[in-house]
Amino acid sequence: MENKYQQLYDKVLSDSAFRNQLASDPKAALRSMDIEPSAEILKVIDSIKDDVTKLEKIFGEVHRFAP
Amino acid sequence: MPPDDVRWDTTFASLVRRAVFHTLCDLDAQAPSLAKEVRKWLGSHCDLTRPDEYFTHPQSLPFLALPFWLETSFRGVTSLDFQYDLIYASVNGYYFVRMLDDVTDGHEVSPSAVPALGIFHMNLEMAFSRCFDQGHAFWDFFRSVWTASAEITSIDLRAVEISESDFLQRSGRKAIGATLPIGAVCYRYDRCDLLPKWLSFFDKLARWNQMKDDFLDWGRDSAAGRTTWLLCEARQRKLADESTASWMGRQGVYWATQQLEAWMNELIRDAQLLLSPDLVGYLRFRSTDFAEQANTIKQSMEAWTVCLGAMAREAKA
Repeated sequence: MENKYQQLYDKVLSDSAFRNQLASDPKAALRSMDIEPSAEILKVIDSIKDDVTKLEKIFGEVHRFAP
Repeated sequence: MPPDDVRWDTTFASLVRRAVFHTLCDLDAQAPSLAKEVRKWLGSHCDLTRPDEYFTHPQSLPFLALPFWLETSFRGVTSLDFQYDLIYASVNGYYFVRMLDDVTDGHEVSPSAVPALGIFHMNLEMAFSRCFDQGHAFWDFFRSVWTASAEITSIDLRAVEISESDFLQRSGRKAIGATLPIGAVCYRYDRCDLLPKWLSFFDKLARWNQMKDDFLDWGRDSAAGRTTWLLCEARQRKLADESTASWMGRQGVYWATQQLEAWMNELIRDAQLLLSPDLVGYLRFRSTDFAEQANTIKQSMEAWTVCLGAMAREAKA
């Protein structure tokens, strides 16, 4: 995988703010990673939007309970 | 609103609500300026309209419920006044430990909220004083637990590397303060024969809970430079040119979930020997709930990997 796609993979796994941005404004999120968001790429991103949101729900949720 | 899959005993839930509101309303009445600062701090952790749900959330460590389940396991009933004192003590003990942790971990706590530590500790001691006279054997247990809690907190703050054996020995002990009400039940009813098994169970439950938190928080912990066993393992196991996130995606998620599932199975086996159907039911819920979370994570990551491959191909074409 090209380096910038590897960085994108890492960022989605580790960065809650980026996951939110990718779901709400994928063009801006991809551009911030120096990836030109072609129509095809946006279509691919759209197809996994739910998965990104699910990851955010689990990894990104701030505890509102006694840990 | 927390999910309602854990069916708390309604009496227990109402005792928790009363103890939490009693703590906060007393503070409002007796130290209004300090209370305002405490509420600001607490508001970063929980919904202030229902601060009791912070403790009864299905994913929280059930340290308020354990003494309730323990008493029920051998008496069939609970003394509500006694359980209320235990819950009140534990809520105040928790606020004490949480605020101290937040201060030492560098989380935002206004200095003008910190004097509340003295009040939380006073409330904790006064609640136990209502249950045990001065000179009662319980106070030796209290002293040893509270000292161990301070010692482990100090050791933990200095840790720069956490090995598997460090984690196994220390992670449960970090929450040792929560064993005070378990001990209180055993001392009150002269059932100290039950104490070792319940303490050992609690140690394993707190360890599971810590690992689960470290797993779900690994991204934030990594970004903040915090030391956890999971992140230490990631550093050791990842390839030389691999990032922590890549290792988590490739192996870490599978490794951590397997570890957690194995520990949970052990917890359920241990709980069955404690003769508390409530506790076993609770663990079965946590086990199913975690398995669902783990599956969702794995499926989402697989979809994400496929997506990235497609994006890379599309960019090349």
